[in-house]
Amino acid sequence: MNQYERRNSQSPITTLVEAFNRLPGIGPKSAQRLAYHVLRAPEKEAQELANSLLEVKRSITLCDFCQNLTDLNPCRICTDSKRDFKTICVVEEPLDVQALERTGSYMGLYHVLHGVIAPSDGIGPSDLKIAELLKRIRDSEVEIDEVIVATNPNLEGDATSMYLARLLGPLGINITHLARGLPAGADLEYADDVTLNRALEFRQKVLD
Amino acid sequence: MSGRIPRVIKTKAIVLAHRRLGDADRIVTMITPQQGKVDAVAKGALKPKSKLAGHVEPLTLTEVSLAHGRTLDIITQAQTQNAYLPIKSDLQKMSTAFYLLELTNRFLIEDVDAGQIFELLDSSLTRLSDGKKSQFVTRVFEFSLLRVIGIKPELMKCVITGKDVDAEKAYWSMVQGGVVHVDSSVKTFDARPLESRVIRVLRAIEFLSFEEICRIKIDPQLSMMLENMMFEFIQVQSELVIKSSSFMGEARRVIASSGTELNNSSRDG
Repeated sequence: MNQYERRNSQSPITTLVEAFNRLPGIGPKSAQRLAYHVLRAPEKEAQELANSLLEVKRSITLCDFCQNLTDLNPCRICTDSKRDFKTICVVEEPLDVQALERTGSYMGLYHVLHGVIAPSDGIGPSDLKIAELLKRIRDSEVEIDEVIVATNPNLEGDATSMYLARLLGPLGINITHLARGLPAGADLEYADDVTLNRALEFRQKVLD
Repeated sequence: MSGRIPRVIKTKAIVLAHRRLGDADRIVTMITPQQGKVDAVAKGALKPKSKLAGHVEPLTLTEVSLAHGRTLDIITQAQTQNAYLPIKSDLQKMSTAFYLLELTNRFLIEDVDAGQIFELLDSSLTRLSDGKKSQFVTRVFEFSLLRVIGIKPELMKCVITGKDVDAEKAYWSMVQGGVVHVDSSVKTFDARPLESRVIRVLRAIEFLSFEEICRIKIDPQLSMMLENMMFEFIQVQSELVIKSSSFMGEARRVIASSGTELNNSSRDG
């Protein structure tokens, strides 16, 4: 029996367990629990789950402008006339857009890179949506004033941030990144040198 | 009294890489002088208020306490000793550091003197932080690492006959692992002529001190020849593809096209 025949001959429940097991953060035990939950659930519930999985794959696409996941192209943020079209915030993943939107204090546009420069994993600038960002800035009808690089504050995020600054700098755009420092509720004693250095570097007046 | 007391080790470590584990944890790969390469879990390292996160970032010399776990060790405490800060604000230095960390990570296998490689990595990152030229730091690191793991290129004697080779009559064989005398070059399929200035610089890297090496004048063309030669040598001899090597060239290209006045532009805005 070859591998293809063996795969086809396994029971539907094994196939479902394997499908759940492929999801991030789901181990074999959790996959089994989820599969048996679906098995015991009413057929309507299973149908809804299957439909929503297919629907999300069929209807969600990438916005031509910001590369965020969307069911409308261009997405709602890119077509919102109340937003500041002169500012673009560059983030690593679509979830980062949601995190920044929750603050309610940013009214510019976004650009999702879908990753970060990670040379040791073989991920370089050409594997990210950097060419799309460059084209978007060059083709924009509105002159872009500022690009805020909101990559994660780690080695790969910093490499991406510096790479973008080098790449976009010659276009005469103001390239900034999010402030670095101590998180709210943190303890100074446990802060690392990089965080403390950045916190001192970007210190602010107590009263303006 | 019964019950197993967890074994806790306190050691210096340089963090080489990390990967995500579940929602909030990280597996951190480190080089330590005594234990060699260690994978350990930094619990909660992805949470904003984590006490560990900043101390176990890649490219950090840190002192860690490791509790022996069932499958992986657990990092219970960490304190940064050197964050190599100047590297983290310079794209060229950072791309070099990525390469050094990956080389260490890929070549650090059992039966290798981890203490020697630890010292080599720390001194190379310190030199990079101190503003020493990336190309010299990289070439000296590569050469020293290859020597420790036993695949250093042979630069003085013909790898076919064992006789001394004059720089003017040197051919080069990646597969045989070093210089070949012009008279023996037909005996190995990949032997190719080698510019005498290349072999002279490589010999200087092998035998001179770092300070003396830094005084050597190397034009950009020679620098590229040396870099490509070492990349290819490492790949052929180790059968490993060092992924971060291409980013060094990409960083160099974008820096050249943006001009040097943009240094630290991302921080200055």
